[in-house]
Amino acid sequence: MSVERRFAIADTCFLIDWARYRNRDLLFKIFDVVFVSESVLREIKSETTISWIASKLAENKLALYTETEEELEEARKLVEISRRIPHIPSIDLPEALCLSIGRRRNYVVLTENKGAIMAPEFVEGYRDVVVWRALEVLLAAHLVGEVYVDCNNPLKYFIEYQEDTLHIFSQRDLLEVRHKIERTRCEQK
Amino acid sequence: MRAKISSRDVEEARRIRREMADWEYINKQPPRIREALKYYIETGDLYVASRIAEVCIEEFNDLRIRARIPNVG
Repeated sequence: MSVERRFAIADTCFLIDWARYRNRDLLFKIFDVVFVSESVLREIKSETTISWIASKLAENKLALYTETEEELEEARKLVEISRRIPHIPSIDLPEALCLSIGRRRNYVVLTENKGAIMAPEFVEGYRDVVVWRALEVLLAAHLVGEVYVDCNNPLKYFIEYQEDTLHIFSQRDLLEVRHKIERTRCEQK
Repeated sequence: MRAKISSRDVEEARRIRREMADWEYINKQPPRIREALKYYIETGDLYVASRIAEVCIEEFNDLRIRARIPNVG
């Protein structure tokens, strides 16, 4: 499977977890540029995270995204729409803004917000927006061969991510990614 | 490739957050932090929880980790 290199936009919830991960620079093996909005930058305070973000901005791996009034207005409407759909968790303005930008500019949206993950399925007009969590980024890194896969322990990177961030992947998701990695990287050997 | 979750996943995530949380730590916190942590356990919404706690999202994420509340994804 090939994963086209492309642009992404990250929300704060994704970025602050990802920044704690020991292999955080893997993100830039998958995406040419990851945009962060000004509102995301305002939520970052720790020296280690600021230092990582500043260095990646300097290397043009991360880039500042200044949202437009139209994108903000679309995001506000999306927040209202999400409140009218009873079976999805509500979407707040920061994630809604990422979805709005993702839809308009065809960027992959990086978020852990469950409402935002469900939006393409339930909100009209957002079906084509691609939303990834850390899980999909890690899986992509495996499928395109950006990480060494130990076929005796194909979930090593996922386990390390959980340890570094106290972010727990569901057993069902881990089983599914294990099968995909084994099929793609182990059975060919 | 796309992320996909269901309403059942949302319920399961809530159950895991409730079970793994360090309730002794949470109940010792000042009221605003305590209620924000409880809100996060129920909703998984880091942004609103950080606003309840009156801290930035990254600072709230540190509180979440100290309270042993997993981000279930």
